[in-house]
Parts: sequence; C-alpha cells; structure tokens
Amino acid sequence: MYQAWAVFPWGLDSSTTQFFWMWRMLVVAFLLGVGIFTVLWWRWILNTGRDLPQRFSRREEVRRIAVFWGLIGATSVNLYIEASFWPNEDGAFHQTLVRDTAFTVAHIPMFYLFFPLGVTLAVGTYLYGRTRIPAVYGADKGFPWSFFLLISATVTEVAQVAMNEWGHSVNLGNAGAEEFFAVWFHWPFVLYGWLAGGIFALWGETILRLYAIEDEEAADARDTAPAPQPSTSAPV
Amino acid sequence: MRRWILMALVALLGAAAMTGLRTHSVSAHGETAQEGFVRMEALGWWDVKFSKSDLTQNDNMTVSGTAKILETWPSNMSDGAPKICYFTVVEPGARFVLVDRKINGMPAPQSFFCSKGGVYNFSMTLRARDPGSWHVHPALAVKESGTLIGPGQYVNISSSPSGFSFPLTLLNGKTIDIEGYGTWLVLGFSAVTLILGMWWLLYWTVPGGIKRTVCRLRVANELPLNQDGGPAVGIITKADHRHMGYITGVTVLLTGLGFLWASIHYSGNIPLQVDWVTPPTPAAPATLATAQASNAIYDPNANTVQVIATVTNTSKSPVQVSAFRTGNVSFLNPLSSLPHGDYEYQIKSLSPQDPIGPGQTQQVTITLDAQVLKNLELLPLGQAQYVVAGVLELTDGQGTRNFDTIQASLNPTST
Amino acid sequence: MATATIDLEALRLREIGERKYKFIDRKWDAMFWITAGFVVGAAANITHLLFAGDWDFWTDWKDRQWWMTITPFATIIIPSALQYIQWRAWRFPTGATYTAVCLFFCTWIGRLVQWKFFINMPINFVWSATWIPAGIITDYVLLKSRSFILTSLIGSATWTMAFWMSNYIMLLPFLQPTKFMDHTLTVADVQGISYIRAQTPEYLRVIEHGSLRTFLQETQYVSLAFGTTLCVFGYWVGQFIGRRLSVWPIFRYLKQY
Repeated sequence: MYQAWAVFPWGLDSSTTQFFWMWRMLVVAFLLGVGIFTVLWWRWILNTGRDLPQRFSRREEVRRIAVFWGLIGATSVNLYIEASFWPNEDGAFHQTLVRDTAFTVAHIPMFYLFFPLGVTLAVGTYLYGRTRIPAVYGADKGFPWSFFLLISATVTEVAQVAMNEWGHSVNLGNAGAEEFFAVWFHWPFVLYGWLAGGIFALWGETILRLYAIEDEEAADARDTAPAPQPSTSAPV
Repeated sequence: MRRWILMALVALLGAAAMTGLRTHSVSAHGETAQEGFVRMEALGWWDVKFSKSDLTQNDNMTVSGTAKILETWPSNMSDGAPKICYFTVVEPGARFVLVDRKINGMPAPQSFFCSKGGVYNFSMTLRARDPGSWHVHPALAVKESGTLIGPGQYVNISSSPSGFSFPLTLLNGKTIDIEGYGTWLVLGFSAVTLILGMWWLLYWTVPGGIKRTVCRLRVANELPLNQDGGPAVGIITKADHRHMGYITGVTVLLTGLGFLWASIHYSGNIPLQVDWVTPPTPAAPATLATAQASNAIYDPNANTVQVIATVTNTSKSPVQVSAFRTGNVSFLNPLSSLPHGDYEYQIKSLSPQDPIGPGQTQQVTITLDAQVLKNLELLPLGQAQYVVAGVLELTDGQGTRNFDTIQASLNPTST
Repeated sequence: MATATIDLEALRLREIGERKYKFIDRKWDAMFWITAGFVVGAAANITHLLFAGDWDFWTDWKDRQWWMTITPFATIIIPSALQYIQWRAWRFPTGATYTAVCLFFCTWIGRLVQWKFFINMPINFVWSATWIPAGIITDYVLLKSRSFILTSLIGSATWTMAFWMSNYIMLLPFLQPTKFMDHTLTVADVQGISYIRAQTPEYLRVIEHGSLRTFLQETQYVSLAFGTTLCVFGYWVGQFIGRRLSVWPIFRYLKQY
C-alpha cells in the first residue's frame, strides 16, 4: 500500500528531496527493521532453546517438527515474494521510467527487505532445528548440508544484488542500458536460487525422523500391550 | 515475547507484501540521474510541442518536434556511432497508445536507421487511454546506449462514458478492438489447462490410503529408482495408469484439435514483422552562420555558467542568437521568444545583445542560470567529463534558423 | 518359491504403504504440497524469467526462431528436478505438472497484479504461456517409462512440441496481418508499437529478422528441433538440481567448516 501511494508522485525521479525521504529512507528503515528483528528473533530462539528440558516426549518432538515445517513454509513464501512476485513488479515498474538509480522504487522492498529477510528466516529455521530437533540437527552432528545449501541460496542472492547494480550501471557489452530480462548479469540470481533445492532435503530429513518416532511409538505400544489370552471357546 | 516477535514478523511481511498497486501522477522520469555531460553531448531537442494537454479517452494528441543526434555524441556509447534508433514516449504505464509516428514525413512504425549528425523531425500521435494526469515525454532510444528523454509536460485525460477502445482493421476486412482482442481465448484456454493440471494433481494427492504422500516415502525408499513395484505393491496400479491415460488423452486431443482449429480459424497469419526504415534527410535550411565555443565558465559565487562562442555570419542579413539548447532544456533569448513549459528558461544575459552583421565574426557570451542546470543535473560537476555541449540556435530577420552544435570545456572559477 | 518370495516382499511393501500412524495425518501432506508450491513456483518463475522471460512476456516477442529455441530449455529445468524428487520420494509422476501448475499461479498473479493493475498493460499483450499440457504429457512419459533417460529424450520432445502447440493456439489471433502506418504488420507488432514500453524499444526484440539462410518456412521447425535438443540438456541440469541439491543432502553433514 505504501508503494501504491508513494510510487508515482515521488518514486520516479531519484534526484528529488521527496524521493530521498519517501524512498531512500525506506531502505534504511527496512534494513534496520530486518536487522533488529533478526537479532531479537535469533537471540530468543537460542536463549529459550538453552532453557528447554533435555528430555521431551515424542508428541512434543512431533509438535516441534510441525513448527519447523511452518518456518520452512515462511521461508518458502519469502522465496516466492523475492523470486516471483517482486521481480514481476520490478519488470513492470521499469517500463514506466528510465532507470536512474540503484535504489529504484521496485528494488527497495525487493533487495533491501525480502532478500535479507530470506537470510533471517533460513538461518532462524536452522537455529530452531539445532535447538529443538537435536535428533536431526543437533550441534554434535555437524552442519547439515541441507541448510548449508538453503542458507547459501539466500546469502548469495543478497550478494548478487551488488553485481546486478554494477552490471546495469556499467553497461558492459552494452547490456546494462536496456531493460532486457535475460541479460547475462541476471543469470546468477537463477543459479544461486537453485541452491534453495536444499529445502526439499529438510522435508526429507524430518519425515524420516517422523517415521523413527512412529516406530518407537509402535514398539512401545507392542511392549506394553497385554499378552494375548488363550481362547476360551472350544474349536469348531 | 514469542507472540510479539511473531506478530512483528507477520506485520512486517504483510505490510511490505502489500506495497504494490495503483497509480498517481508523476514528474521527471529518472533522466536527471543520467550523467549531465552525456545528455548534453548526445541529443539536441527543439520545437517540442504537445497539440493538447486536456483530452477525453479515445481523443488523439500529437507530440512533435525535432531531435538531432549531435556531432558531439559520446564515443563510449554505441561505439561512438549510433546506427539504430527508436522514437518513443516515456509515460507512467500504458496511459496512451501510439497510433501514428512519422520521422521526416515518413511513416515509421518500428525502429529506424540513424546516424551521428542526423536531424529527425518527429511526430507521434497518441490516443488517450487511461483517465488521470500523466507526465509524458518524447524520447529517443538508441541501440546499445539507452533512452534519452526530451522535454515533457502533464497531460490530463478524463474518462469517456464508452470507455477506451482501439479499433483496427485486419487485412481480411474484419475490424477488431485490439484492447480486448483474443483475450477470451487466452483466458479460456489457460483456465482449461489449469483444470486438467489440477485434475492430474488432485488424483494423486487427495485420496488417502496408499496415496497419502508423506507415508509413501518409506515404500519408495525401498524400491529401485526405475521400478514402481507394480500392481502387487500397489503404489501405482493399473487403474492409475488408465486414469492418467484418460487425462493425457484429453490433453493431447485438446492440444491437437485446438491447434488444428486455430490454424484454420486464424489462417492467413504471418510471422512477426521487422520493418525498419531509413527516414529521408530533411532539407537543410540555408546556412546563416557557423559557431564554435571556446569556453564555458562556471562561477559558483554568481551561480552562472557563461558559454563563450565565436559566431561568423556567412549570410547577407544580420543574425541573432535566439536560443541555447542543452539536454532537454532550452534557454531562450527573450528578444526572440519567451519561455513556456517546464523545460524552457530565459538566457540570463547575452553580450553583445546586438545582432551580428553580414560577414562579421563576433565573440558572444551567453550567461545561463547555473541553478537551472543544477536542478536538472545537467551541470557535470563531480562527473567524469567537465564539458558543456548543446545546440546554438541562430536566427535571421526572416525567421530562418540554423542549429550549430557547440562544445567547450567547463571551467569553474573556483571549487 | 521365488514368486512366493517376491509376492511376500510386495505384500510387505504394500503393508508399509497402508500403515496407519499415530502422529502422521493428512495435514502433513497438505502442509508439504502447499508450502512447497511457493518455492517450486518461485524457482520455476525466476529461471524462466531471467533465462527466457522476454520471449514469454510479450506477444510481439513470440517469434518463429528464438521463442521456441530458448523457452523450452529454460522451463524444463525445474520440472525435471521436481520429477526426480517426487518420483524418488513418493513414486508420484507429478513433478512436471506440479511445477507447471505452480508456475501458472505465479505468472498469472504477476501479470494480473503487477502488469495489469499496476501499470495497466492489457492482458492480451502480456499473457502468460501455459506449460500444463506439456507437463502432463511429460509426466505420462515418466509414468510409462519409469526411466529418466527415456523421459529426458522423449519427454523433451513432448515438452517442446506440446508447449509450442498449446501456446500457438493462443498466439495465432495475434499473428493476423493488418495495415498500420501504411505498413503490413501483425496484430502483435501493433500491440508492441502502441502499448508503449518505455524501456523496451522495438529494436531490442531478439526475433527472426530473416536472412539468406532462413530456409523459407523451415525456420519454425529448425527452431523446434534445436529447442528440443537444448531441452534435453536442460532436463539434465534439472536432474542435477533434484539429485545433488535436493536429495543427496539428506542426513549429510559438514564436519569441518
């Protein structure tokens, strides 16, 4: 809604004072906001994780895996916003003006809110797994390759922003001056995005853990079930 | 604490995700961040006019004027030699549709072959489409350089009771409205394919039993990759094969028959056209005078830029400096004409003010308000080339005009 | 005896598949399919957008030479990865169709919200192609062949052909000839000229210009053939993503970093 209200009066000319206050300051607001949220959230996960009891029930572990899936879901939604919803907006918006700054209106939420938020969510999900699901993500196991790939995807996407702006400004190979989706310095966004395939391994690992929990539960149920009674009726 | 953080996250995501709809009006279009010396050296614009500034939907308006690719075109853009250009309009979205374009009197529907030094008298007719107040600029796009924007203005469109329409007659005689043409087929066919896709997916994912997704991993883990266990295991049955055959059959039929129908119904189709033109060279006016700039002095205390040029009158009547045009802005000699619009200003002073006599050579000093250039980011302070360039317009008593490209080094009196 | 052994094994696997669980209910399935949809759609959309997006975005870029050479390659990558993942994990022949449906939602939400409502481009100019018929047929190839090698070869051909035929249906009205500014053009060309894209000048179109080697009307078929070949390559790029980036990492850990 902010963009709807602010983009056309003040968003098209990056040299104006209004652009500075309405849009460039938004970069600051977003980065600060994401930064503060990140610190608070990660700290909370780690602090409360330390206070949790060492032993917990299977039902509790299943609940934690469900929350973990919710966090993966939030990461997934963020990836959708940063890799689909906002690039469409960016493409559309760049048809209405001449690109005149790295901080174009459409770039500001995309690169300076959702991209960093992707890192926050991916790492936060890992911290949750490390502190709440030790059977799969405990510190003693090492760093999971699944998270390594997913977090790498989010981090490299943020890094690629710099190359993207450089490519547009330098007009290398005469490619930066026109609005061409498939220009070569956009391709790393795709390649880094593929690393997010590690997200499927998260689902795979936790489903296999769910099976293990179910097997333990079934084994307990067999052990505690009363022994079968001999039949009292005469055979036919 | 957890709830607080969760609410903050949801609010952050929700608020930011909603940033993206609807439109208002606009001012500059971003050209001010393109480097000043590039915009000065690249193009000269003059006589840019909008035939109307208030229209109703479906009304036409013509933007006309002249753009010249200056002799001072930067050597690092398009390898110093523009070859392919395209006149366009910069507007905040598809608020108008372009219905006609002529360059030097020739219809030019698409791109055209251009060159350094070329003079292009353009006219673009726009049909009003979206009600609102829109800032519109003519612009010239040059291949491998980008788009250079000319002077613009606000144009108001009010709505018409019948709404917007854009009729076009096909070669087969049928008249269509481009605005909605073919939309039914696009949306309808796409929706049908979505139904087929959802049918396929829901067949596998909705039923319970052995089709419960998460539970199948255990079975799949134990089967070799290229086996599905057959009917004995039952994770893919003969009924599944049959059902998938039905959906695939419907898909193949839909695609095949649809292709056949469309080929017949829309026969006579041609491939996309590439129709670039070479506009004729306009007749040049008689040469009145030549001009060469020797210096451009920036005085930060007086906030002025003085362009010093030597003008030689080669005609038989006196000539006067009538304007200096740089980037998309014009500084006018008030003795010749008065400024109007957002991109015309007055020359602060001209020395000497008297016209230059026939056969005479005279050094003239044109003083410009530096603040105007700074506001439009045309003064290249802190940029890679300290240069002032533009078009010096000279006019004789009969109204004949010459446009001489001049360029000089920018020399500040202090830093 | 061997048959009895195999039947016992099949029975055991069937029992595993039908087993009832205490904690795993259908909500897990729904959670997976819905949340995966976002990341799958995003991955497919960004790959398509930044490798081939220009050709798909506008009616006046969907030409005979480049559109069908580049788009099938760009758009088979993620469906191939999902085919591997969903076959490997669930033995569902759904990867290509699932990706195509997720991509459908992503592209149409993008077109409607960003292109139609934000800057009011008409939807008949910026409509999204559909990959669903191609996805269904390619998934059927996997179901029948149970082989990724065969799917890469036959499936790439079906992917390319089905994509072309199904989208050509929607494109044909826009290839009708008309007279505009005294020139013979297609309706799509007129759309491109009239609905002004400030930053996409007409010369930017990478489309067929014609040459001494354009082989008359064979251009389209040469592009389809080459597009199919590139598609095979794209299929194996997708297989790499599915195998190495999505499945291989399960329960693998970095010990030193």
